[in-house]
Amino acid sequence: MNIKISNVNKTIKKAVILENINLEFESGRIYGLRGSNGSGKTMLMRAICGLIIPESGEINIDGDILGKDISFPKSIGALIENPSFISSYTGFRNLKLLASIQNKISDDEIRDAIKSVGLTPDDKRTFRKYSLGMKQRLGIACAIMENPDIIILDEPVNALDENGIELVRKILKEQKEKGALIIIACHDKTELEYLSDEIYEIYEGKITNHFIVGDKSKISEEIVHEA
Amino acid sequence: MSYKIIKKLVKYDLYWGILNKWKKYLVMLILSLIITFVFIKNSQFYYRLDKLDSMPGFLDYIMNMFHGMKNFISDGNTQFEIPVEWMAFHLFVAFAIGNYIIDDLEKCGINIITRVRSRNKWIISKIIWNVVAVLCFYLVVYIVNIIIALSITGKLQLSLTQSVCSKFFELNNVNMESGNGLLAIIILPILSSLAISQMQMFLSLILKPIISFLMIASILILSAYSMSPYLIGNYSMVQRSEIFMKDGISILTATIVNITIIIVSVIGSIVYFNRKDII
Repeated sequence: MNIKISNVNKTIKKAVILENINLEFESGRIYGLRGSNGSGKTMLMRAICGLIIPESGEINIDGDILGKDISFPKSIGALIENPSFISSYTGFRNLKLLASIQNKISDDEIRDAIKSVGLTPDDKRTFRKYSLGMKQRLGIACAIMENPDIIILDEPVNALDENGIELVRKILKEQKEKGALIIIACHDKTELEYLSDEIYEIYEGKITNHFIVGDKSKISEEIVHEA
Repeated sequence: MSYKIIKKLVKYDLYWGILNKWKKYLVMLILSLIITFVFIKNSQFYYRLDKLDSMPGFLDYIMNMFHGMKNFISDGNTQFEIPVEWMAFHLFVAFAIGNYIIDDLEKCGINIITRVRSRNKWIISKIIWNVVAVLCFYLVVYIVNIIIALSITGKLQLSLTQSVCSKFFELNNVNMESGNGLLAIIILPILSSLAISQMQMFLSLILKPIISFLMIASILILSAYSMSPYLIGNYSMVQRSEIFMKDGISILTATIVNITIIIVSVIGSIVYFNRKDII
């Protein structure tokens, strides 16, 4: 799995959202996107998901050009901004409904995904009664349940407690080991550095910096120290 | 595979966009009951005064619902009166159709569309939902009126009552023999509603659903005020059809215009949605 973004530009209502973006992502790695609010992180993620259409440039996913050869990536799981589901359904029922579209996974696999984020599959509470953290966890379960080749998570640790953050770290590690290409955006600099193999910094729609994260154990120590 | 996914999407939309919105259909049911009962009550009043030869039947009820109004000619003395029954029905349908697709797109849309992996399938399912949702509103109106007609008159009268038409719709010499009358009363309002709703859905993709609703509401009000071929509400007013009005709108023209609007709106929705940023 390879994503190659070449010269992508996007303007919405005269505001430059993405400017001459050139990036390359490969499977089995976690890429972090860092930038202030409105810098273009979410828009870049939406563009990779096929949700927004660049004015120029192309997004090539394993040889298929997005918007030309394919409308959406063939195998993608995404959590972009707030997780949104049918409010009158339980978490399990929501994921079952979504999983039924491709019919690739069994009920047990849906249950496993829900358990992996620390939720209970048989919880009778409907989505509207979920706390913010539970909604976030369900959003992550939805993104990973079908073991997609590409996983896109916008602010995955938002509203999560320490236990939830730890589970996200574990999930991302597992998905990475399975060969998924993971792109995350996170405001927390230290957390992003801990989770990612490479980080791209975005400022006003432009990639301003790119670096490979070094010694992760050291960053982990920093987190423990800060906590 | 492709057909199966569209089937799943349509099933989803029919459930969430129609069955789950049963309260809107209940409102339409109550609205139809009120409109028809008021009509019957008024008819009874005139019947007792010997101003009606006979009481109205099923087709008169339907005519009452969709007749609209005659061409309004402003001469300074005549006051413009909104055709309440016609306006209530069409405005409510526009309100009910309103924001479903954008609401759905903002709720589960991203999760669904990235799994369906096709903008075309998603929007085609919404187009089918739109048609079925509109037809269901008509179904409610017809069921209510069939039940009322059978309970009161004991039969389904498929012809208009002359004295009722003269009294309530200012229509003299109603000629239903050609069959075009039935077409004008039953088919044209449905076809017009389908055209209006598809246009509204197309507009709601481009603009905000509330703006799209207000535009449709404005078109409907302007249509009542002015008999212009450019105001599509005219095609849904039975009373302005050539069958019931001299120099009225021809059934052929109405059919062609409505079908054209449907085709343009459907193609427009598909083309636009394929280029739309899902934000």
